[in-house]
Amino acid sequence: MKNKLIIISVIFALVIILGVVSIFVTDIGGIDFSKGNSLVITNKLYNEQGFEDYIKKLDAEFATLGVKPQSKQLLNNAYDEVLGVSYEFYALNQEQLKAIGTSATNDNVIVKSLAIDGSASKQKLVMASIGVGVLLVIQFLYYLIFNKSTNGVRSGLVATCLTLLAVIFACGIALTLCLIGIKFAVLTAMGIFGVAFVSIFTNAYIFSKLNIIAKQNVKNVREHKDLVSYSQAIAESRTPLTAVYMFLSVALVILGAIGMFSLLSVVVTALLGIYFAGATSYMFLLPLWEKNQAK
Amino acid sequence: MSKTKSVVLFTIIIAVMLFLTVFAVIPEFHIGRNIYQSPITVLPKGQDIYKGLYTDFKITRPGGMTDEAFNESKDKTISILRKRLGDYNLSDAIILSNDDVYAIRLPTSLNAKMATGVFAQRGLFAISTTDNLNDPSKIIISNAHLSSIDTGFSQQANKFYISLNLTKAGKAAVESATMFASSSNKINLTLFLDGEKLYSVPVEAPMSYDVLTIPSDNEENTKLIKAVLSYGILPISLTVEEGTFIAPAFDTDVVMWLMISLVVFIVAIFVSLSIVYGVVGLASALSLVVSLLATLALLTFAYTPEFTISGIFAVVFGIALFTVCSVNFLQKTKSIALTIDEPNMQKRMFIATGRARKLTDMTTVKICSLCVLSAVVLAFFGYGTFRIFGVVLAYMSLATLLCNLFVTRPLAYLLINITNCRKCLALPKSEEVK
Repeated sequence: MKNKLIIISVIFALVIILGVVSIFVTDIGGIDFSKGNSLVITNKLYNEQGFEDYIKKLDAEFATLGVKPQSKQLLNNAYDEVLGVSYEFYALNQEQLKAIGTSATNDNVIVKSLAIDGSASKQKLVMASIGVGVLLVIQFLYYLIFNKSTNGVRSGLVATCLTLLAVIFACGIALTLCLIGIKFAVLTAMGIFGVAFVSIFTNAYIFSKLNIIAKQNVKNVREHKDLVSYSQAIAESRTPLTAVYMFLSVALVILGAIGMFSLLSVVVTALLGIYFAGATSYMFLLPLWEKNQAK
Repeated sequence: MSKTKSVVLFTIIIAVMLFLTVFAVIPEFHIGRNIYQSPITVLPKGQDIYKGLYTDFKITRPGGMTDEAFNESKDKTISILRKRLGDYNLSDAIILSNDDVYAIRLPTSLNAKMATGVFAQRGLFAISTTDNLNDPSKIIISNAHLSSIDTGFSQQANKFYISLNLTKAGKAAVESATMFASSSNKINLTLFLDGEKLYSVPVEAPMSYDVLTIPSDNEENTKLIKAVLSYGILPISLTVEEGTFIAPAFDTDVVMWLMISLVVFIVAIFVSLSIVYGVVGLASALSLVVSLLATLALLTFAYTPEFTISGIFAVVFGIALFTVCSVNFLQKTKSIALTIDEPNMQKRMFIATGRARKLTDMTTVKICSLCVLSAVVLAFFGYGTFRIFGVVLAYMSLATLLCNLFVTRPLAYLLINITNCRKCLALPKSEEVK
């Protein structure tokens, strides 16, 4: 138990340190956090074939310049005729912007360079953080009201702390990924919510098991009821939890196989986050709860 | 459970499944107003998986305005636009800028009325006792006279209403305009927006001048008026150009791949449960399908913001919740079945399923209710991407709760009856022989 705790704590600390470092060393966010540029090129001539050739040429030129658009979306009219194209880039410097502008300039097109206004995303993140806070409070209240037989305050405290740890760990992972260019997007924050959700239902499941078993054991064996109950609860929750983590991993790996950077950021964060949430809940939830009981 | 009972239950479940399938799959099913189109078509889809609307707009500097004042006005204009977009659940909109040229990307659900609500700029909202707006003496109130605005639906009158909370100046204006109308007790109000007449409506002369409640002719106009009036007028005029459609952020191949992976994931769960837990597992897997269809139905007909890629992730997490509840029940059934000393396998399975259900129902209720609560919190506090994640998760958790309580067991009983329990729970061979 002690060794496991040390190993998990070291991994946890490393991820957090890397996460904090990445905030200072690299840009954590791309186009979702007002650090993006959009290049909108409109076709003047309505010559679809000519415009498509021009776009292909432009793509090749971007590759030569070493700038990789994060997204490329066509602009169409109601008849699906291509009227233009919109590229999105992560934060570019003035020289890169100028070079891109020069390569895109052509007599038959109108080029517009626009900066992305990500102010609303910041508000989204603030609200999301408030949401996480309320989520933790609700979890605590839930244990306080519905888990009286396993001491609501203590079980609530342990479960809430573990969920918070899982959320911080997932944030650390997401920020660490920024070091290798997988930027933190609004979608990543949603992945962190997913981790919180998994942690919440895993804790609730284990405690619910413990609740039932504890009630049965109180009738039978009064002494050592906690120890007996939690070993039994752990044993009974193994199969369902293993099945869930297995299925979730498969789903996330399939989604990650698409290979898009914005998806990788959410998939990797969620995958590692749920494993951390699962491992901590499985290994530490009941021992911590039992330790609190003993005190 | 007797054979007749399980057949009745089976019929009900199949009927529900068929009904939900009709909701989910058939493109045009003519029952009532709401089922006119398939839910997949009706389900509002966000710009990252469907397509968006792209439009440019230009902010014009009024003559004599200082740089500082102009920049402040521009910021205020963008902030008001964002709030109005939020009123239409379009908070995922992206605003791009370069000096005075702006562009906006919106989900396609922006119809003409919504566009008016978002971009209405001159703020010439007025309530007049006449259709002729050119006569300024007839204008009773404008934005300047309002402190806040509420909208809603009155069950009693069966109509939407707009409740205008008036400022002191507003009260005085309404009072003076209606003082001569008290004999007839009715005044005819005409609502204008940006110089265009929206509609006219006769209203009772107000008894109190704090609040003026006006019936609205339809929901669209109610939303439009709320979006424009709630956040004040745009401080600066803007010119909106014709919009174009923009391709989805995740192109069609990616969305297709996402859908395929979701289906593969569901099939994998279906097959695994059936193999590991036999026919009872199959009942659980079928229950999962019912819960997914129920979620889809809820997404279509209950309140739903634009469905984006985060909705797909929410479905995955929702399925995970379902799996925990199901495997908990199946595992319990299996362990109870192994301990019962009953030579008739069918009877043994009936007893085991019943007992397992009793033992696991409370766990299911507890977990799912906590998950519904958590998801509702996410939906309440979230914007755009977060909100759809919370909403889908809440619906999935609710469907998981209901299906685990009311669908899995009857289905399991039925399948035990039908299959004569040769492969009821994929028990070891020695156990099956008993």
